[in-house]
Amino acid sequence: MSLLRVEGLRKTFKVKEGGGRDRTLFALNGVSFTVEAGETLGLVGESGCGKSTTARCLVRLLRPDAGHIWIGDQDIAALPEPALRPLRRRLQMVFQDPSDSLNPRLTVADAIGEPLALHFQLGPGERLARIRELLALVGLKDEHRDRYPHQLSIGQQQRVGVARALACEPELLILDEPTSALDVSVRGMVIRLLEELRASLGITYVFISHDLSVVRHICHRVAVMYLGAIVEIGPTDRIFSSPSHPYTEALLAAVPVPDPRQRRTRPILAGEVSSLVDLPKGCFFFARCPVRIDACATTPQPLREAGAGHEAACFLRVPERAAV
Amino acid sequence: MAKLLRIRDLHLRFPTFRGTVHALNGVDLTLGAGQILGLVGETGSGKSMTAYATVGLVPPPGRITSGVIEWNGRNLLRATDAELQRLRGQEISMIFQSPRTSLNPLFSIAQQFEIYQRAHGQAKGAAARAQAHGMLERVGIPDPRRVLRSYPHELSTGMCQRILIAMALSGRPRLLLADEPTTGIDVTLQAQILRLVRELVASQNTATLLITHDLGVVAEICDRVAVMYAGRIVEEGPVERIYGDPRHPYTQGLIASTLRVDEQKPIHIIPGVVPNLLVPPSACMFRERCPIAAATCAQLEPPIVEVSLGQHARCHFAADTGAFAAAERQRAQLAGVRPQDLTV
Repeated sequence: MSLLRVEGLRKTFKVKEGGGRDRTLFALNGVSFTVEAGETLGLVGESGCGKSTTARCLVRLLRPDAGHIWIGDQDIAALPEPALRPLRRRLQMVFQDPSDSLNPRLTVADAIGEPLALHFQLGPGERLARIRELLALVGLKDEHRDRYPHQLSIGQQQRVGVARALACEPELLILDEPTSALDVSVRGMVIRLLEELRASLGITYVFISHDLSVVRHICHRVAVMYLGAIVEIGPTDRIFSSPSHPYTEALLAAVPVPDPRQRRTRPILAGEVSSLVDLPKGCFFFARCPVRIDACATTPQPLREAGAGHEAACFLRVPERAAV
Repeated sequence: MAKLLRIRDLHLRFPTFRGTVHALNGVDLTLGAGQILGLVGETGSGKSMTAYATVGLVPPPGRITSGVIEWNGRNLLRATDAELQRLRGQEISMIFQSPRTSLNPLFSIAQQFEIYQRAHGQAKGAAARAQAHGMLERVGIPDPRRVLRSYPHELSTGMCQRILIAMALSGRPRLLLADEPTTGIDVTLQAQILRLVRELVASQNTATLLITHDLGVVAEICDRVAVMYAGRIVEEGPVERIYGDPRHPYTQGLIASTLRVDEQKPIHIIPGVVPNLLVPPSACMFRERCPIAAATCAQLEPPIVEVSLGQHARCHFAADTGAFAAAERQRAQLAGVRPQDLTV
């Protein structure tokens, strides 16, 4: 059984417009995917595509409007807060900017100790031993224990963020842009650390990033999101070497390659992401798609099988197969 | 090619209550008309400060302690505030990182364009409006008439950045300083904006200094690249040379650490951390993290070596191919070290 199974996740927000009018913003429009134990699933897409909303629903910082989030055999999508608390131990989140997500008034030991106090009954000696163990796990020294976030480098702060998430021995770690605030050399170190922890602890990651080169490096499978829906999902190698959806292609083509000999002449995706308030009726990518035909404007595009474990939401690229 | 901008041995200090921060420690830079020079380096390496110093906008308490900034044969460090004010916007323009905070939320785009044009003695009245309209069209804004009536909050980030580019280039400046113009902007939009900058500076023959931490962006649009480390330029040259045969160990490490979307490779790490600029290391600033550091590196300031035509590196071993092989071996070894065991 999959460790995490997300089915038909929907989330809307009310936004106020001028004149006191309320409008509905459709942030997630039926997101489904599964994550197997021990694998890393990447969620990619541009700002506003619903990556972070998905993450926040998964750890139930947000309550989805509809859909299911199965952790093992329990659906947490609509669980009330008290019932949720013990389950929170099993899934934890690491945030983008460690200087924002760490409390400036807590020392490293306090920050890591807090989840320990919430979820485990530990004596003071056991607690200290566990904090030391966690620090060593993420490559921090014992002397860092009594420091405050501002006394640490940003790379060290992100290690504290990871240690805090690991404190309650989660099965699943949601990483929301964990390396985006970091410089190249520090980024490399955090990625290496995450890979090492995955191997040694057998932990499962959902890795959210707009940085496709990092995703290619660390993820086993990738889901590409656009306007709150998954438009393509499949094994990382497949997605990067032979993408099926025109949006995935355009996204990959837009990433600059650090090689001046490969300076691009290929066409650039025009326009901007459409509004989440007035969702397109047919294919979500219609307005910007370089290969669209008239029918795309009115035909909604569900995911179709494009190969082993590979699905894409484009009826031009992925023809319907005969029912098996 | 005539050099429009020439920066020589620029030193910049910030006196703070914890001591003096040595932000720039001898920056040398030249830039000619029509050229795009990429200035790369990690946070705190002095990229932005170099640009701010050029236009006389170093934030207090920063102070330029020595050096020369020559613009068109004139030393800007001796220019009066009024002279600098005239240069900014007319001859030298700047684009900043966050388009949303660079526009005033209380004024419409038309009003802001007008304020800008008036400040720089450009067209007035109807001619000014026509010029603004034309510039917005050139940067690919659909329906400029509507956009001119809009306020920043009604426009997308990409739209705001296009407007700022339009403003910055409306006076046909001879030098454009672009500080991380696409950082935090989605890749598809980034591709559009980079192409726009490239086309506009080519058509106006603008000298451009593009500050970024993204080596991909540099490869995409720059002619030359300068790599900064701890307030100094450690390597500089044509992009093809620097990417193809980097000679400073820091440049090599930076290129090796950059992940690519078009290939999968083991991830490289530059061990250690950037030096504390309150107490900058003597001699070579990179030596504590350098895979090939020797005794000389702690004793002697590394010379600037011309390693190939137009390519300069500030390293004792820049011309020593044997040393590169050693650095390569060291990097390979590091790949096997547990990340927990590396210094942070």
